[in-house]
Amino acid sequence: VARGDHRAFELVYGKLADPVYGLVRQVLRDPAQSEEVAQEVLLEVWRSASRFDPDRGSAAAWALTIARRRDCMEVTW
Amino acid sequence: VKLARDEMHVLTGGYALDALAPQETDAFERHLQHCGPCEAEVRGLRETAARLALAKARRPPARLQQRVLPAPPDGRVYQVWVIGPAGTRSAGFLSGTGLALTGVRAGERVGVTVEPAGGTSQPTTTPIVLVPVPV
Repeated sequence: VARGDHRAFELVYGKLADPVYGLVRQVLRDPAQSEEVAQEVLLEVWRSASRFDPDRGSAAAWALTIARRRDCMEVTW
Repeated sequence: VKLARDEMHVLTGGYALDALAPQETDAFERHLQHCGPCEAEVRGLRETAARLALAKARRPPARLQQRVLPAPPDGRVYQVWVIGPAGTRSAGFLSGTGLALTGVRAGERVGVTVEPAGGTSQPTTTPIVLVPVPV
């Protein structure tokens, strides 16, 4: 995804979209708001994909950390 | 709040879940730089939290996938196609702000392919998105 590879995008989207949306939805409840936040989280994941370091943990753990951070922000607002 | 060094070690769980106050987060991140055991523990906790989150995984609406498409590679564009019984016609390019499609009929499908900048008259690559038009 960091290199603009679409097959990679599909693969990563397939793996991350459900856990990210599930987590956000569990915290925020509202479906529309959850969709919006999940969208921002996934865009943030692509944006920072080149900084992702597999030695420091799995992609799922990393994406969910970003999601959790976003969730906390939304809840605080 | 000033935390003693040995108090830092109990913050791994809160940090892994991003549940610390901003001040604590800063202090803990400084601590993490030179504490191998805490670093390993945070990593383990994040992996566990990710595994637990899988149990709550939930399928988002299909439109989310199109909304999070990354920017196309340099020199390429996303070209939108309407595919119907009469053939395939270009419907323009996808940009960050989306695209308004007019004159699309039920039974047709809308596809997106990656094409050279400027576009092509017919798709030359496999669609990355292909959706039926809702009735």
